[in-house]
Amino acid sequence: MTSFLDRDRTVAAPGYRRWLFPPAALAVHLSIGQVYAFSVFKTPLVEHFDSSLTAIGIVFSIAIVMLGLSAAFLGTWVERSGPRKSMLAAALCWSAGFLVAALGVASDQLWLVYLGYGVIGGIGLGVGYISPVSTLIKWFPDRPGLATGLAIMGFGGGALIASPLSTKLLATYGGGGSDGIAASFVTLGLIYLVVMTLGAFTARVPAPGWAPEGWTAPTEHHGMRTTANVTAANAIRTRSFWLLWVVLFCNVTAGIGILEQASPMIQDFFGSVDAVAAAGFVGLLSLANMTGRFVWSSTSDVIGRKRMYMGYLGIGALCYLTVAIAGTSSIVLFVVLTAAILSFYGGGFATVPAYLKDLFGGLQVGAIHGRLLTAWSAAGVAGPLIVNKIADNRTAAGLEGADLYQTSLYIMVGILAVGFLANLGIKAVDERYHEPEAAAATDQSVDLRTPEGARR
Amino acid sequence: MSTPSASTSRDAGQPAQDRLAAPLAILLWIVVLVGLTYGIVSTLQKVVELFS
Repeated sequence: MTSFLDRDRTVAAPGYRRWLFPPAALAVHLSIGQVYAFSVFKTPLVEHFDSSLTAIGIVFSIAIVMLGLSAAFLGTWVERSGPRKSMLAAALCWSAGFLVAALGVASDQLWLVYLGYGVIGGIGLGVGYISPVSTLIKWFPDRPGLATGLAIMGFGGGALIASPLSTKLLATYGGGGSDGIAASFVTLGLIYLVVMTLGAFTARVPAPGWAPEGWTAPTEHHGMRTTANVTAANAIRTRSFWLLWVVLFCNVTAGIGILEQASPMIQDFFGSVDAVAAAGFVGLLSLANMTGRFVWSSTSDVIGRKRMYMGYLGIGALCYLTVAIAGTSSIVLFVVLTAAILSFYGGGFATVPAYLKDLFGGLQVGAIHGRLLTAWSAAGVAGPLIVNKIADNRTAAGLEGADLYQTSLYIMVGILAVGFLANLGIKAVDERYHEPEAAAATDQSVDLRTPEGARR
Repeated sequence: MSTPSASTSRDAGQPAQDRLAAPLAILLWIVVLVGLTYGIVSTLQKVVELFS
């Protein structure tokens, strides 16, 4: 059984078409993207445990922190093990997380929900998120932005599916109240186990030396696009890695600031918007988030990653500034601008693996990506903290409506400006970090069983 | 589209896996697209409320 899961048992047979791999990646990302729809369970969980929103909100926070940590610490293992084993591990963790959380709900033990959905499920999130990335880049060396955008779009789309599905499950099992939580968790866990396992068994890696028909790997460096390879251990010693960490942190912090507060924000900006319409606004932002992942990441293949991030951060800052100055003047203007910001937020996530591939080569891009995702964990704490804290303080000062968010919006403009400058500072990685030519020759191959051996 | 070179050694079970790969992937494409369509349509129904 173990050998069946090994990387060298997943090498594609002659004639395998590369477009057969993306659904495996999408199956995993659409499943773990459920985490963005966790809020559907918030109120029922508060009622069930008779606890505060903060106590239940911790479940989501633990999951996101574990996502970053597991991606960082297990990235090298994922790279070495290949997509089938790592996708299956993600499937087991993610579904086991739901089952343990269901046990916690059934036995009234909130700590089991923290352990299940937060810790175990969070590990599934981290491993699942990075598991298809390097394989996608190897199947699509000519269009890495398109390939990773397609998969990471799934993470955005997962919430679009899970949100209405979870609402229906809660209604079916418990009349929409807290009675149906445990059964809903079990159902979701089993559905995701089947879908992700199908994805794992479908996963194939390209044979050594494989290349798309008519495409030859570039032999010379072009701008920041390197033909060399850098290991994960060496990548984190470079200035460009940490500048990119800052870029991702700033882009995610700014996006989460709106995403977290979308529903109350539009109601505070426009008194005529009720809760039902606000839910439509949240849905629209989710669509923008998902679409931006695919569209902008694919565009980066044409215009380059650095220019793409200049757009995300520069135009994003202008959008935030316009919302702060003139956001209350028109609901259409407000919706268009915030949707643009969220599309840049999603695009930033989806373009980053291709940016890493440009800078560090494809050898250990999945492991490097895992280390970079700690920026997501940090931003997941910083973004909501900034917006919520300032809104609370301004409420205490007697302000209301759009005035609650003005300071936050200007802070987000500043954060995006910092990210813009960090992006400008990203340069091609110095040759002293490159692996020897022999390792570079395996860039498009699958033989990564001993990546440590390639380290300096 | 692809022109793979010879792959690594395989045992007797591998050809069966290879035969299943394409049908499984096509099944997954269908599952994924149906799921995405369900999610997008459900979301658009809510978006309509915003502008109605």
